[in-house]
Amino acid sequence: MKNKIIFISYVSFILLFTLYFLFDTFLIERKYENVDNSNIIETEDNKGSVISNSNYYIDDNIIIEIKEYYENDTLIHVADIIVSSPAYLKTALAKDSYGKNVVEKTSTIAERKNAILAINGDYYGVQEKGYVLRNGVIYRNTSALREDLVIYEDGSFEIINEGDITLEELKEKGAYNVFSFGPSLVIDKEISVSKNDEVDKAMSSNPRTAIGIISENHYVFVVSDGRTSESEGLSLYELATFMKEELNVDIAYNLDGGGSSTMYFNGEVVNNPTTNGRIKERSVSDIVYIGY
Amino acid sequence: MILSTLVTKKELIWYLIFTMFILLFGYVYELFSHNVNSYYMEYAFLIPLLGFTIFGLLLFFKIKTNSTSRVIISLSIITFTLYSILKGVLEIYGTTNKLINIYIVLGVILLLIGVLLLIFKRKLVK
Repeated sequence: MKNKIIFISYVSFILLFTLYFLFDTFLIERKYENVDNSNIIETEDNKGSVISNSNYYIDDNIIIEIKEYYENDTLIHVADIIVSSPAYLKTALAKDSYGKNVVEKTSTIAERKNAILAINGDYYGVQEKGYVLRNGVIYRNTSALREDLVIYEDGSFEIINEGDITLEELKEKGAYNVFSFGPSLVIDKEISVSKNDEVDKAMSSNPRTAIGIISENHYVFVVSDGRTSESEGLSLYELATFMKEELNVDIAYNLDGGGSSTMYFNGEVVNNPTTNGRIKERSVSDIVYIGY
Repeated sequence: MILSTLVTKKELIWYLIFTMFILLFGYVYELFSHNVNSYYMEYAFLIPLLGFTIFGLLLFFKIKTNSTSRVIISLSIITFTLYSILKGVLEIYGTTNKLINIYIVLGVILLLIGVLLLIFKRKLVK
């Protein structure tokens, strides 16, 4: 009888704790601080004449062309972007707050920010470590020893290792946005992943999101569909090869993929995001976007 | 009075069912994880299987042990198994949570209490 009481009491306790653990991991929203917009670089608001449809957006400062490719049994959406100033390449956090489990759909954040084009970011909120610097503000400076993408105020890209430099040092060097996901796909026009490289335990054939720079003020956002019968998905090596050979990027970096992979353009989600086997947009922590 | 008893068949059956449930759970979970795998999820069943093996050997060699210590060791095995499953869930989702370390701490404490109780009570019986 005594043993039965010990057993039932402990099992009840550990199951209740597990329930709390799962809620804490996936559901309980914790806002640590509101977004600080004091460091945002001002952009020219005068757009001039605007021409736009489902494939193009052209004004005096921004030119975006949406293209579709079909490679490796995968539908790949590419946004080719030319801007007059790197200040039009922006980032935003869900609910304008930095925190854990603070999420919104890419399209919802994009609409709130009046973004013309947006993709999901690095989903910083699911990690407890890794640099988070957005629009010139440091939110998290703990190293996860990951390979990061640094976007400087002048719009140039650099790939760094978190173990080699602190976030404060990066900011002093002029870093404006830092993404901690990875890995890098292309560095100096050379593929930087091997055929066996994957994100943590994620195998090939997955939806992917990537960002790249071709030349000064010329960027690409890439989102590939996956996990469907129409579009299998890409391995990191396939994505890197595509960005190097088809898009001729100088530097390319892998952002959060899987169910998070979303591209938004002119008020519409242009790809087919998959969540739990269904075509459905997943909520994420952050986005990268082009807008005023 | 301190009672030492043989491991019962009921205890062994419980371990066997628990092992099979964890094996099945890990298999089904990974079926829906889009080829994202975790060794913690795949091999979590080895922990209750280890319990089954140890308890089975105790029965096979007819070694009498204190039933309370066996219950506490079983609770530690449940805790370690939960750790492995949850670690697998985190890995597959691509996230982390420091709270997971609590399972390791609880598991080790329970294991130590169970083993100490086993040794201490066997000495008392002698």
